[in-house]
Amino acid sequence: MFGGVVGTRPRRRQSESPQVVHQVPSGSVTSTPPPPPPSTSTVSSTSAANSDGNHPAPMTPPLPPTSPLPTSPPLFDFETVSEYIIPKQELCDRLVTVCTNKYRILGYPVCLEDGKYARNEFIFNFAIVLDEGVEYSTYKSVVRKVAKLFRALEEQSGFLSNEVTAMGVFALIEQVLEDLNNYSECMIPINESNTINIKLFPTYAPPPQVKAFHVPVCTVQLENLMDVNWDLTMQKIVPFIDGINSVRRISELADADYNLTRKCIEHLLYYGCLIMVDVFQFSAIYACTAEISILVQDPSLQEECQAYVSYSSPRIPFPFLLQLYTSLTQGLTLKKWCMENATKLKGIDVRRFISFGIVKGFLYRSHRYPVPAEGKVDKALPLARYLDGGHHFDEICTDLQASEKEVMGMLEGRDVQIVHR
Amino acid sequence: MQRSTNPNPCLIAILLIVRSSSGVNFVFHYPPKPRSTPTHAPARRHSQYAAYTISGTSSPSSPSTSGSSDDDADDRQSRTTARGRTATERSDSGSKTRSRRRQHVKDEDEGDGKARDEKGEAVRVLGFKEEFLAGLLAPKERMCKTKFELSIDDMVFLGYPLHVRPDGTWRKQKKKRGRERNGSGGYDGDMDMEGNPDAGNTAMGNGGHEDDADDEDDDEDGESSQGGNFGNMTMFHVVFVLNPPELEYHSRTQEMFDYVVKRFARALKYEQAKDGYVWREAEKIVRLKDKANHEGISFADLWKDILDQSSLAYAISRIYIDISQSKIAHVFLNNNLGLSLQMPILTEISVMPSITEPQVPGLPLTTANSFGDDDSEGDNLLAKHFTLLFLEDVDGILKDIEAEATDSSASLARFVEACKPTMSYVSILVSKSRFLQISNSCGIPLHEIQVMARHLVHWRKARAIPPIHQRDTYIVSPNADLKKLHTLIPIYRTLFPTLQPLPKLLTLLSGKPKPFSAFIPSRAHRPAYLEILAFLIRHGLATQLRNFAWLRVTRQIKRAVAAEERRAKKANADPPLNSQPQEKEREREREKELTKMTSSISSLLSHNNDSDSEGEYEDSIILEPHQASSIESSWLEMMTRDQPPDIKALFDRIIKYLNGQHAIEKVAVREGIARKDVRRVLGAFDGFVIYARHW
Repeated sequence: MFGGVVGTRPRRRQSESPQVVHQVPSGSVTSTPPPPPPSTSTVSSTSAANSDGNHPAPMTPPLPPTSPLPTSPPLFDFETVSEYIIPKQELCDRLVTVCTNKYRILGYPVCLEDGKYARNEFIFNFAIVLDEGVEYSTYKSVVRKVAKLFRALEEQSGFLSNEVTAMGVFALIEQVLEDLNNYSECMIPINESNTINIKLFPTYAPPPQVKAFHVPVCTVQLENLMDVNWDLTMQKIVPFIDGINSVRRISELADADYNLTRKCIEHLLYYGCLIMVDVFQFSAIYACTAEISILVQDPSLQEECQAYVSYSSPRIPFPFLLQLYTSLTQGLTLKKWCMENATKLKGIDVRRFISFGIVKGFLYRSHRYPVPAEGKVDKALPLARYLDGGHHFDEICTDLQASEKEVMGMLEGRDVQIVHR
Repeated sequence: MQRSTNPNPCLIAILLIVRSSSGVNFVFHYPPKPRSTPTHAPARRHSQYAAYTISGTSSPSSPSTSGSSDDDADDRQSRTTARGRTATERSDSGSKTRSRRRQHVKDEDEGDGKARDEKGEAVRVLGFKEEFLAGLLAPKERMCKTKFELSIDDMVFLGYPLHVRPDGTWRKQKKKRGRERNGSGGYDGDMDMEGNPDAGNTAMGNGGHEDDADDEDDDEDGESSQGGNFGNMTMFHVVFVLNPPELEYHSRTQEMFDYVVKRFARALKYEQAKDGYVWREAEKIVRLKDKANHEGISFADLWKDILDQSSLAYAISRIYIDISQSKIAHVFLNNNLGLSLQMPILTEISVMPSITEPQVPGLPLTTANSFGDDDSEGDNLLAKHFTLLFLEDVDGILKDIEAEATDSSASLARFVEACKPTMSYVSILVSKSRFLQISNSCGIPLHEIQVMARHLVHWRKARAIPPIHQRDTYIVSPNADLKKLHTLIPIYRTLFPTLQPLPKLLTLLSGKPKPFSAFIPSRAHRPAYLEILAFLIRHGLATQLRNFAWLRVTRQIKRAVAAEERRAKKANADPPLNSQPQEKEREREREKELTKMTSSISSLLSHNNDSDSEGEYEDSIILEPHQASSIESSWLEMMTRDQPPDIKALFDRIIKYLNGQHAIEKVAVREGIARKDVRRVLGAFDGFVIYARHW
């Protein structure tokens, strides 16, 4: 990887173009400054390039000790893209990235206006160079943060424009680069009052919406992770997350507010501590998905399955389990299925048997949806809002806190068809 | 990286920038007033700009976060497409920076008082001055002819800038290869080929140029009134402005670039090279703008004029409108080149999303997607036995084909017509007719049929499906979009007024799976019911439930094989009298035996030699029966030993399908065996076959 500090002079009408002041590793952006021993490039080729503006006098860029090693050519041609790195004022204080030569240059140009600078302005940019295809969202906050810090430093003490302190910028940036590449974080004290604190966080997708009828299943031992500083609702609800209780039920059992419970669950879901399944019921219908063939091809998954579903010691041969799984079918409730297969279910925990399939994705739950037979719903009727085809019985039941039978009773006499999906 | 399955072009605007001898010019943009995007900058909520931006990238399946008004809601939502966002949410977050910036820009404006500035709004696009944008998006020559990607906050400017060649021409003259085409009505064809990244690039990019470049100038003189201006333009750049969600940044921009940006730029370059089309159009637009400036024509009228008079501007507007709705954009450039652009969309899925994954209800669910991308691809044999399910009215498709009028349109029309049920007496929209049959009936070679079928699928007119058959089983698709039912019921009712209502039919299909024929009341109803089935499949309400099979080896078989081996081993111990012509055979036999032995020995060892106990042998499944290992082959041999020879022969033919990857339903068509025989063979091995039923 390579970082670079780019320095530029204040923009003026027809004067010198922007210049690279610091670059780590040297020579990665412009080849003019003879490079120091090249810092070995590594993994994701993150590079920090920082450009700061110097002013009036002929520039004496604070260069690292020169060693005339032949180097690889610069990563890209700075001239070509300099207008995007040290841009006009309109682009300052914005996150600007530009791609060139398979690299992405990520920067946050800052413009300071002050009479002390030549032409009354000083533009600098701390930029990071990444491979074009790399997921870069996590670095956005890095450039933003460093830009703001440098701006503050410059405003306080002319940190970047003062030649004495500017010398230290190279070392600073070099350390940022090395630390980020090696440890994904850095903490570098600059002076008594300023420190660079950066940590790279992966960006996750927002958690899916949690519904009252969802059943959370832990993927980690939450009790072991939890300490007294955790959120109170979280502490209340965690003991009830057992892969059987629905979110609604958890909030009831824990005597916690439902909305807070939901938020906690979403939070855990966001960090991958949970997965969601359906409520397990013997009146439910389960059937195979196309993923079943993955189970057949994966011996380790089969072993996991054998170990999980049986509660007695003799291992159940996998072909036998497969036959059981494949005999689940649309239109057949689990209850009926159990009766049909009563003799074969010795030593098998049916709930675990089903939930293993659901969690691994080779079983799915066929839900029952009430739909109006005539297509139109009389809005005046109770339950009408559940009849648009978007609500299955689980949802209606948890919503109304009624049993399926009761709901069916309410629908009695209504021209409603039940569709299994 | 997260990839959402929902189409989301995230297109905000398309800009056209041109550099000529008089400088960089911001020629045209569409829509006239593009909405700006939110920035990630400090999200304080002001409302005064709420009206400034327009609604979000609304994706089809998006419930908004139920009233979660937490501060990070906006940030979270900008990461993926999965959910819709409200207008206010988006605009709010950007307002602060924007207002600051506007202030900024205003200050600068005071300096150079241009005439057009009076119209305020008109000059600023996406929050920037036109001049500034033009300068920004006119890259140096070194950045031309390659992907241009510049992002400012959450807005991405994506383009493929093209620069004139050093000799003043736009394309290297090639004498030999007839790459130039008098492209009329190019549904696909050349543009697709040109789309191959860099294939043409290198060809045109390097090295010397021939002298006959002048030819073009001459041609052009005749056609264009601007004569000498041909060389005036040195660069043009069509910029697509996008605001992709954070987590989908790479996939969204890359797709847009590959399928739209680059292809459009290349087509323009082709026309520019031919007769200076782009420059001519750019001049036209600029002239209109200048005129409007002088005469004080309103902004809206000006845009109307431009779209009326410039085919390039019109093409850009079409692309914006169609692509941002995930449709196919058909444009016609220079009265000459027809170009169709589209972003690929997902047409079917084979894996059900789990309850927490983004749902795409309504997408057909099937694993029968054997429609490879090119002829040489694997399942070609099966493709022959596919048929097309038209997604639109056949008459409409025929009309479209007529309008295009190319060489192949006649046979295409014939094919589309033949795909109709006249073949086998299924009804209007579908086709139980297979390509092979179609090929025979309309006299078009099969290969061409496949090309045409692929063409129709590519342009979203049809979907390839296994032929519908009343003896196959269909269920309500687990991915069916039942919310759409209320819109489908009236359509259904007009199509099939006298038959069972749609919800009733779905209820029937909800039961234990049965062959579809079970729902057909009488033989006379069969065509109508198959038509209904086609309707259900077309709207993703039903999917075929197909059988997949594996071979199970039972303990008994294994034990029998092992016992036999032991016997053979003993026999082997006595050296056989070497003699007879079968010696070679013997040799081979012995080798086989040896390998068997070693494998069985090793298995014996691993089980600590309590050889005959029950525990030693366990049922197992042969994953790839046609590539069976030696021990598996001997098991198979043992299983088939007692079967009559015809069954054995058939079994050998279908054994390769018994690996859980092939639907049993397609075996008959692929192998040309009668369905009955397939059933018979599998019946003979009943105890050894495990079936799984899915889509």
